Amino acid sequence: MSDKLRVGVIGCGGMARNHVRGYLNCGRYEIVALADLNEDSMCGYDAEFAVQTKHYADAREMLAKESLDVVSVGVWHGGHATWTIAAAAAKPKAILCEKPMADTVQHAEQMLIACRRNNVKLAIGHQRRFLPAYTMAKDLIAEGAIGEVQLMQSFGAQGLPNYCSHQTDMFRYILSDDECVWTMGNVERKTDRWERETRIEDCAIAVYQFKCGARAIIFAEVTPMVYQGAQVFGTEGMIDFNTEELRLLNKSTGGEWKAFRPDGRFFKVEEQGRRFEWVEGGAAQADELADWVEGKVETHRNNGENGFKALEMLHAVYESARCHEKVIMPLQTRLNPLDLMIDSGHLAPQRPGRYDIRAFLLRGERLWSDASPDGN
Amino acid sequence: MAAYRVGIIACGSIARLHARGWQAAPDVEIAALADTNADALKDFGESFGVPPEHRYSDLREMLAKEQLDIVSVGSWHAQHAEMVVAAAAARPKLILCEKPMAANLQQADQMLIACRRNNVKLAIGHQRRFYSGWIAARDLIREGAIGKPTRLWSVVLDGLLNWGTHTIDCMRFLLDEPKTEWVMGNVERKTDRYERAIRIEDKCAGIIGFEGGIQAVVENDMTPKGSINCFVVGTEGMLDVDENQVRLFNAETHGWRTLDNPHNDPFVDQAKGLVDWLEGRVDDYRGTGDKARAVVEVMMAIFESARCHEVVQMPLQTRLSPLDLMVEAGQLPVERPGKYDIRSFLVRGEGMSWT
Repeated sequence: MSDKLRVGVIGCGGMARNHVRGYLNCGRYEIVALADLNEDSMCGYDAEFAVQTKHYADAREMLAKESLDVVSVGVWHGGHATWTIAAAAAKPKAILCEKPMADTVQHAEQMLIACRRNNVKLAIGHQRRFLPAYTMAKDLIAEGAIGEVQLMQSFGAQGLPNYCSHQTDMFRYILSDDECVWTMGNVERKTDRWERETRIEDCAIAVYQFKCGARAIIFAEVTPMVYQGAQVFGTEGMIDFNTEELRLLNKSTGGEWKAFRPDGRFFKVEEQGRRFEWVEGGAAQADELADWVEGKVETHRNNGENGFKALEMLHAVYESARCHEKVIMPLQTRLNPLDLMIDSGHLAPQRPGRYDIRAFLLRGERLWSDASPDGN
Repeated sequence: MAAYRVGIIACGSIARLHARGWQAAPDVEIAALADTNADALKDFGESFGVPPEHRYSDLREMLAKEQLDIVSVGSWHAQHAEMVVAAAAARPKLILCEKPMAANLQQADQMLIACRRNNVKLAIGHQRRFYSGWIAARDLIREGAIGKPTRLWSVVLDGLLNWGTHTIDCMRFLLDEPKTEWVMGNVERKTDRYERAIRIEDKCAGIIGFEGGIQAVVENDMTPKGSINCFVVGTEGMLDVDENQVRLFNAETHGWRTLDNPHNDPFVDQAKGLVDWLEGRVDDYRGTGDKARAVVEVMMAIFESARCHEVVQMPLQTRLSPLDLMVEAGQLPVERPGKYDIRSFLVRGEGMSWT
């Protein structure tokens, strides 16, 4: 038998594809089983990754039969808790669940509980923590290269849980996992906009304060600018980074911008171009997960607790809008405050007609949901 | 006899600062005073040498009798519009009204209309535009010392209308009066908090989208710290703007360089600047009513964004204070009842409010 970690995937869509590519690129896993409601999706995986897997229409059957070491959860947000909890009950060594961690803080909390009680390691797919430019920003800040961080900013889009989950996670990462203390923000939702069967806003802003005193601002679709990365302004300089490049301006650079393009552990920016963030992030994320499973590292930088906090920071923006308040962390409201606002009639769409900006990802005649009508 | 006779309406603490400025300006005399409070009138008259026959309890009587060239309005915000409109009807050459310009956009517009139809110059007491540090910072930005400005940040206290008006005015001054494209923000108001008889928020955060892709962040009462100044980031450097001091960080400064500018009294420079405007030595006075209206519009738009849950696209259409509208509609109920005014200590005698 191979000494590789046996992987089963639940939900063989676009995001789990990146998990699988990461497992294979780091060379420490074998993909043994797939579970999806759609047989074509699973056949597509076998062909694309040249693997031979067992296919299951019922993920619980896969979990019962396959003695998996690692389970990847790639279904849409609303199914993350269901399938992570089901996977945890089968006691694999680790679960990698795609971001955002869940559709509510309540579900994310349940995922943490289920993994803890079954002694399963849980990681959430914020793979950008593995980008060398992000890690360089974290290290420069920790070394004091720009003094004390005063203000950070990022530009998001397509829903806070979707794009900006990476950004709340990023802010914490580059501050060496400092904690958010409070949030104030607001949302606009005049259309009935959804993303992967989760209600999202039309646009939003957020102001965060961290324990160290730094503020972070998220601009989500209030300006035309959108990218993953951040600008960081410190008392002694500035850092400006995206998924491939970092620029530093401080005393040591003579007050001028100096650019860096650090390579990853697996791939080079120059060779991969825009694909770099996906292939490097996926491979390095999988590699650290294997290290964690094998006891070579104490934790994974994308552990469930960090995934939880990234989600909590997003829902705190909704809560700030809902309650008109500076939300003091930790967030106490377990349901999605955006849903609460809409369901109570506080934020009724002015232009009716539900639409989902990820409807194109579904197969066949589906337009709303990736789950079966009974929720599986 | 001096060329310009000044009458002061509402003889409180801010009017004293106006008066100190007028005393230092050339060819200006403080000729008359109006206040409904006899003690305030007497104290003020004695401090600034205005004899009893030129002290009035009725401001309209003063305006009718005194042939004033300049009227200073030092009342609380809610009375600014009424008093400026009354003063404008008497056709002085110029009115200086204390900040914030007004308590809502409707009042600000009424002040502008009244002054325009009576051909009166209207200035608002955003005297900080005369601070040497602010002027130096504006000039540095104009020269490109930090490249293209992209981000401004201010953290203030004591209500958006109170300190926030200065800091938003600072941003607009530093950027040479940019057009505001959009505003988004939120407020918290769990206590029944007032400032000079105007409802204010407990806490507030707003983002202002200026033309040219510049965004400004203003926080009020979000933390215990605050100052009426501004931190400016550009594509090539940073600028920390203080009253008389500016700190610059760019390719030429080798770290932060502190640029000390002469200490100055902005109330004196404001009064002198107004005389320059009256005498045609400046065409575009830096603290006009039009410029202050743009600040009121931004502040009200932050409240409107909270009220309507939206990015407010300018120009703002809502003429009343959206904070008042929210409270009165029950959208923002007070959770800790009991009205209080953070400026009650300024009131004389047994009063807790001037209005």
